[in-house]
Amino acid sequence: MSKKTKHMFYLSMLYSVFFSLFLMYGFLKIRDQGNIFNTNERLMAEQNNKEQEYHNLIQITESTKNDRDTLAGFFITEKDTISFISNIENLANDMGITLETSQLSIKPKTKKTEPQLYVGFNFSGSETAVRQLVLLFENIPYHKSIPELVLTRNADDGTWKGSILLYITITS
Amino acid sequence: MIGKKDIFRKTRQFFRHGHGIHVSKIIYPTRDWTVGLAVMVILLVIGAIVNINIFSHYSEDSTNQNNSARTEFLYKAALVEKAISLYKNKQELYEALSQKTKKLPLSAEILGSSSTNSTKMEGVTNEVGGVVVVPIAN
Repeated sequence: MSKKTKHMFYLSMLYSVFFSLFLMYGFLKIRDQGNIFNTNERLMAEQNNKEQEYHNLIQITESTKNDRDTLAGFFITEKDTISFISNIENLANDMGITLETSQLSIKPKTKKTEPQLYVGFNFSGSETAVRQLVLLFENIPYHKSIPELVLTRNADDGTWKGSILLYITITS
Repeated sequence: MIGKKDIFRKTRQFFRHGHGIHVSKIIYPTRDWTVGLAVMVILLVIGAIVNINIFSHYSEDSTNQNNSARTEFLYKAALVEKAISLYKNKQELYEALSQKTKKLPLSAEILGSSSTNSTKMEGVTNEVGGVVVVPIAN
């Protein structure tokens, strides 16, 4: 090969290398842009989904407002506890039952349970009145449990004595 | 002076011409064009394949984006209605008890049974003179 031919050969090789590098750069650039496109599209899809979920949640919240208000009424609040106990005492008095509050405390909120009002009553009266009172306790329209109910009958005069413990869930 | 060596050298040069003239042509346009076009076609085909792959890859991705995970909020309406119904019944009964039974015996409908036999109290066993402890749920 002549010197000129070698020169042209080297120039051609150099051109080929540069052109290949340019093509490789373009290919990598397209791939990077594609990855960015994928990432952005995924983020947009997630954002759209969150937006849709937000609207759905708002719709559910608005459509269930009445139900939630109704349900909220079935939980006693801390400020209503005294009036609730007074009401029970007045009702028992109206029924002709002697009633006294034996226990009153608030169990603070834990990780598993909401705060609860622990309230206990001792009562005595006629059998019918005691049955009414127990029925009344059983149907207190608050979220509650009755862990303990003790009833004793006095054989001498036929009257009934009892004690009851109520765990009533409190909302703030 | 021309010697014997010079005569032999001239003779060799003369006879070498008998092998023919050296061909100095190193370019073959037809062959080179053919090779160049073939390389170009191969590059075009490779480029087309790469581009089709890239296009199909991103077009599939763009169509699959809508299938990303979506969190559904479950609102248990039936459970809420059941709870409301249950507590409304309790509320009505509680109000009925508190209004209608003041110093008055309960009606048979409210008590469920007007029998004086206290063994019919739900969950409570009547034992004369005894002590009964009965847990009642809710």
